[in-house]
Amino acid sequence: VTTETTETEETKAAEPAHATPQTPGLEQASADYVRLATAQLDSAYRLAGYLLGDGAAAQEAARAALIRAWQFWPELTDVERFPAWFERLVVQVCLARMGRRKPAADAAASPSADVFRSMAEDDEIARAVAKLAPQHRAVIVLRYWQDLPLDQVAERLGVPFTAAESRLYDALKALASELDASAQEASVR
Amino acid sequence: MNPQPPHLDGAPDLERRLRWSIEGARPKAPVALRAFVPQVPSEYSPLSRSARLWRKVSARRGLAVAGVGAAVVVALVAGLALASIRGSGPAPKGEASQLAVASNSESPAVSPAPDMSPSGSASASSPSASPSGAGTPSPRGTPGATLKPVKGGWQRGGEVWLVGQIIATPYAFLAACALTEDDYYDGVWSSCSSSDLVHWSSPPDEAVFVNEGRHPFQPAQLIQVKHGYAAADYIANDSEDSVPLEWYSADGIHWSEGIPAGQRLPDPPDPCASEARLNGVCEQAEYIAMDATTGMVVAAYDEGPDEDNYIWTRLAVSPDGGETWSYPTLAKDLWQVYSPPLHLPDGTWVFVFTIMPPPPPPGLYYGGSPSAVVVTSKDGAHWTKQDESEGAVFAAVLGSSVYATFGDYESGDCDLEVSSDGGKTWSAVTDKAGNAVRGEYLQTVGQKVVVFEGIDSDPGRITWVGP
Repeated sequence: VTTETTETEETKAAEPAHATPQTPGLEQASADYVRLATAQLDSAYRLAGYLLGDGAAAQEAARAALIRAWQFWPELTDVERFPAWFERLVVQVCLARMGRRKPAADAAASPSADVFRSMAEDDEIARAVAKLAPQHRAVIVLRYWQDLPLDQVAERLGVPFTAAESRLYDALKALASELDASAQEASVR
Repeated sequence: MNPQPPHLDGAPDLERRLRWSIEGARPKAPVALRAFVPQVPSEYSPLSRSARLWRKVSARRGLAVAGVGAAVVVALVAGLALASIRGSGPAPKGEASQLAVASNSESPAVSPAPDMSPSGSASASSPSASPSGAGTPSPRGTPGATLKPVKGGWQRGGEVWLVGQIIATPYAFLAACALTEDDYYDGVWSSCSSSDLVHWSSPPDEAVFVNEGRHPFQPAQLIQVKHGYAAADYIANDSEDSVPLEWYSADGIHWSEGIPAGQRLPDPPDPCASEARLNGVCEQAEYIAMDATTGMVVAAYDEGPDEDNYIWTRLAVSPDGGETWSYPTLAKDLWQVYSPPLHLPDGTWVFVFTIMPPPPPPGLYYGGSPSAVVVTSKDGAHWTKQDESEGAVFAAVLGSSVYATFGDYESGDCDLEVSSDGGKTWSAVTDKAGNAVRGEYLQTVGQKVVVFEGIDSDPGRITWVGP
């Protein structure tokens, strides 16, 4: 329950200063939150962008994950775990949105200004990844675009290692089929 | 563990192409997003433990708790409770537990609820689905017999993934469910029914459930009203907000949308108007329940935030169905309610409260969820911590027994224990073979306690049903 930030013999021996219940260091928690979230922000934004394929949607999802991380902050028992914990929140938020998101009406409006949209338009692989089912897209993005080892992919997805392993297998298979289908389509044209 | 991808022909080449495809596409977070980070702690507060719990339960079980939705449930239940007291008199004693309903008055969840298509279809042919009940199917809407829950002590749960709370009609157990893990996370949920709480079918058995509404029936809560049943449901609309949907059934089988005027219960009194004002803060009750025998109503309200931005739970007790209220003084370290108020047949009230730990020494801060404890009261005015129950996570009452899970709240690694003396002493619950009954979240359904897998650690399958 207790996380140590600076430990000295003096602080160890210190007695609780209040007889009535007080905040457990909200200010310190706030400072830690800002520090950790800021450090993790680029990676979280990219993760959301790769998953959602859209810069504006990624920003929105990252905001939602930031709020959620603060609301659920009391559950973070070890600040060292923040990067993994926060990325899991980002994945959860994005998965929920991926299942319900409608295709953006202005998808072709300004592709060059949006790196994520450009990826999906310019790169055959990225285009195929964008067509995968949300769970397959998530495991591919975490494994190859976020470059995480599979045990950490499993952690981000909240599934056992073996489930992540089989999901990755299925995702690669689906991706290969998607690429084959695209190639066939291109040859017909 | 070997963190290598599984073998697939052509995989190395595909992996290379995947890694290469990301080159040059590693943008940094926009300035606006960066500027948003320091604003978060000043604009939002960490949620209370109970709120976090219900946010998770709701997110996982499809309630998509929005303030308005919660208010509907509270209104339904409190209205029923008060109507019972003021109008037709107390309900039969056996119905008391159905009046204890949990809800939440927190702000809408950040994570939107998944879509629920009107068809509400889940793969009925999934191998996860087991038939509910045995024998020849009965015609639509004509149940062959009333419920016969599984007998014989504790039994392991089935494979279905429960999304909503289970509700009991005379002929079936109904719930929202998903048939596979992927369906669960993808929000492909449907209605399902069971005759024994262990075996579930989807779509529901037509003999015991007929949906006469336009939407899928995915009940979050159900109560018995004067002439039938009322349920609160949630559907997701296109604007990503959840809107509550009310259902009514006169017989527990045929369900239609909306509650008939004659069956609509009066709204509960404005808590401020009925003096449920706590330190100047007038809040919607987070939990409200009534002992149908004595007519005592116990409500748990959020109080605060205090000067340190923390929310505390305060209790409001009415001995007369909401006419008059008093506010018991609780031990100073009792922080927030965790499970809804429960009551035993002898009138003893049972709560699970978190304990606020003493302030940490300088340089340290608390990062985890505090421990919790069962507190009881005979009269609603004096509440006693049952010290032997420290470490409790969630509780349920069945008959004169209190069941509680104990263990690690975060990992969901919990064991079920039972107390037959109002929380003073506890013993582990096992099946006939001596296997520990494990799980985190509890729900009393009819004459059974249903144990679910951890709240924090997805997924949410039923682990055990008993005794």
